[in-house]
Amino acid sequence: MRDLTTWFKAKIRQKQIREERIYSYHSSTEGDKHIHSEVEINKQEIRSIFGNTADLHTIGIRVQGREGMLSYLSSTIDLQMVNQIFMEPLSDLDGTESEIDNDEELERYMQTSFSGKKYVMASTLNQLTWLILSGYVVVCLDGMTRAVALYCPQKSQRAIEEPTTQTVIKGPKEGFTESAEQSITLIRKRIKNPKLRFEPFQLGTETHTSIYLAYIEGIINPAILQEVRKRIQSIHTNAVFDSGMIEEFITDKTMTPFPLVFNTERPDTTAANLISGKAMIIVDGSPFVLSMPATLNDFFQISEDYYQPFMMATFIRFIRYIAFLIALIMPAAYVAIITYHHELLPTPLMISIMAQRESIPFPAVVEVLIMEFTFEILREAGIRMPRAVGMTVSVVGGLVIGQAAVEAGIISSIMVIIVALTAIASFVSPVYSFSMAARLLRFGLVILAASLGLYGVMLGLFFMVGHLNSLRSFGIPYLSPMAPFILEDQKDVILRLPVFSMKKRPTSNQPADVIKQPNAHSPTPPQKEGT
Amino acid sequence: MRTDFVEKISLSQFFLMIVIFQLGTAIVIGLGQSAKQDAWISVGIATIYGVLLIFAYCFMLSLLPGKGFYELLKIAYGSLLSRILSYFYVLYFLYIAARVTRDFCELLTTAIYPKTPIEIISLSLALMCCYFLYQGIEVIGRSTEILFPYSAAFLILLVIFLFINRSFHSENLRPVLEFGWGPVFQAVFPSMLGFPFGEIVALTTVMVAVTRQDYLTKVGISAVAAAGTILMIFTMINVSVLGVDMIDRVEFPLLSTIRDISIAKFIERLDALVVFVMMLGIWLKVCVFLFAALKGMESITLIPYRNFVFPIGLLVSSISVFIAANFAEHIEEGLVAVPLYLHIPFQIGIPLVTTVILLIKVRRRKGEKKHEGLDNVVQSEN
Repeated sequence: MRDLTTWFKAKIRQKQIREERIYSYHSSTEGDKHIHSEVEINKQEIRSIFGNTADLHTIGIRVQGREGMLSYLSSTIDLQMVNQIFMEPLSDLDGTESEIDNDEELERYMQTSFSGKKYVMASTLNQLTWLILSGYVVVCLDGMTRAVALYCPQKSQRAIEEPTTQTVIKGPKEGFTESAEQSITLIRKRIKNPKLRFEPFQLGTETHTSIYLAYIEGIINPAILQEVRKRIQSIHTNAVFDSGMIEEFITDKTMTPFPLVFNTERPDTTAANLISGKAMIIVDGSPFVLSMPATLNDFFQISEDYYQPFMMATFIRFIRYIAFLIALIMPAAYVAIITYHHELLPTPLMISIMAQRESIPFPAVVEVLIMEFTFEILREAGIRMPRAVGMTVSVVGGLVIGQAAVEAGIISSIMVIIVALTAIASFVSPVYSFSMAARLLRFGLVILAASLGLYGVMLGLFFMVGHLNSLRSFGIPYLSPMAPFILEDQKDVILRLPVFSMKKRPTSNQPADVIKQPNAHSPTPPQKEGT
Repeated sequence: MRTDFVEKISLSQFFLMIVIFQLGTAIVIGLGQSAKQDAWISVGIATIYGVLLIFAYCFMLSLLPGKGFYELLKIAYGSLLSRILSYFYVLYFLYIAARVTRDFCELLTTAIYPKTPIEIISLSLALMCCYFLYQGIEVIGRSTEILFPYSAAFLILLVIFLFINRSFHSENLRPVLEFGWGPVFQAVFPSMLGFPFGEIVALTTVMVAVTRQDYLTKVGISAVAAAGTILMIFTMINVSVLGVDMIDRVEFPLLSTIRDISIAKFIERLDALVVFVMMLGIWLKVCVFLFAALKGMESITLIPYRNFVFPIGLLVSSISVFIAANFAEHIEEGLVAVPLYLHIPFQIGIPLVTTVILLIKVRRRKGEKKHEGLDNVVQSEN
């Protein structure tokens, strides 16, 4: 046993060494080559780096009688902007007396005529390549060993729309878009605080995707922040296209159906999470922002809870927990009762169910599994199909799952009710990734129920509780503040008490600064006489 | 496996663990049937004994703070003798774990699943407990915290339903002390000493993990008192609903009691709730006994206990099937042989002797320390 583990460790280490070698090769080959003073050589170098890609442009220019080269990727820059802020001052240069003879003079010139604009002086080819890739226009001049790069990025992003998941009735309707910069803007708009930080990182050895770690200094627990940083830095991946792709790299445990990282499309939820002492990860190219550490009750709360009267919010929260339980155990309980525990149902109800099941050729479990699978297929089809054929699937699905199956005598009509209720209940969870857990565990529970009855269901639930308790998200127990029980936090878990009663931040995140709004108090309208 | 942090349980978790541990099987199987309508008095007396016992255990552990039960054995008896004793304790805990498993299997096979083989139930239960043990005592403590509210809610609900159903017949509880104190004490000694209150001995292995050791005794005593009170109330309820004659004949009084409920012909047959309450208790008991046994094995072999979890769990599941041919034999063993030959030495005898030895050793060490202190003072003056 022990030999095996050491063997595995050695294997993993070997793999790491091999990978490190590959990475170092990638980063060192083109690097450290200085820009040549002859433009023609630089041009060839750039050409050879980018190959014959269509969007690379290397245009010859003349500045003060000096040969030069303008180089950019037309896909990453805004040409109009280049003409406006770059070409015009450059062409003006010919008329002036000031000479640009060496690198220092070039830099001085840049400082005077491009002050306020984002520009970089590059000295190596590696740098140059990277600048061209990230939306800079590069100018090389003959006789200069440094090149000027000006930032003219192309701003192609969709407009801010209402988020498609986690929608609310009352509350802000803005949602993140794929542009990280816009996401940062939306967050900054909500939290005007100098302590709000966005730490840049770059991930993906092949895609070089920029991601940002957002947090509020002084509120977040420094140990958690350090852990998040460490985990981001230890990601070795070649490509990142969505925040979901880095989620698996940073969770504490991947062998679990439950999400250990919260994700949201809503700036107000993000802001609220930041304020309560969480770290957020914004990935360029993904509208979903990750939030950590996450606990189970985060997935039952939504920003709208705080925009509604507290009684209503508490009631709705309660409904969500119940709905989760229904989505989880309803089919299993049905199978258990029909197969083993007839006596648990009142007699008239039992008789009516039995009468319906008279003509059904399958045992209850097969019936449940058929229907659940059918529903899952319909659901997946509903998401993936082209919008145009949407009607077809819903009509066919409605008929197959409902009327026709009952009339054909394949399933009982009570089964349709069970499946429908389960399906509806599974949509109540405000966070999509959490309702998936119920979807998956449901099948396990159905099989347990079929083999051991209600005892099997209880067994499954005990297992689930044990599993949930063994989970941690960035060191925070997943079921806190229920277990370990924290009385302070109960104001905002299943209940949602009035906002003024929450004078402290939830301590389950272990924030560095616990006090939230010490002077908050209930409204004090003028009292009636005699009270 | 993470070994970099110490597993801890909070005081509230510890409290709930004791309560559920005590209620566990006792609330469903029923206590002190031989005392007839005065069973609740026997339970009350046994509760006082339980409080004294947990006080004694806490006192023993407080002699050398931070040391577990097996470590105390080692300190008290030396390497060889402590190993032998630990070995016997391991066997004892395993046997009790198997007995508890058997209790549950009997409840399920007789009351709910007459056709299911007993092996399946015991195996599934043992595997579940193994999973929890593998996750550690912290997870067990937290899961207790999560599951307890349901158990408590179900019990309260049952009482309310019985009340609405007008099932209570207080005349069943009278006359009080019809046959004098004799039968009452007979019910207490010796059977009720070992079960349920004496079984706290297994919790001594858990007590080290409690965060606030200074409150250990207080919390322990209040938990045992609370559990005893609940048991007393439910003993009274059972007798007042079923009557003395029925109590003697039924195997699981609480189950029979709640079958009396029939409200509006809709709320009836609430067996599932009782089974849940029972299952929670059984789960915790098996977990704690197994944990105690595994910790003992850890202290004997010095190998982390998680390596033993699954083999030992499977062993317990098979022992639970083999220990008795049928339910009557199982109960007979539990009432006659186990209290006398197992419970009394392991729950009272050895801990008592250990406490005395430790007390002497600690006193002596303190004396030595004082001397050392004096020497130091003398030296510094020179």
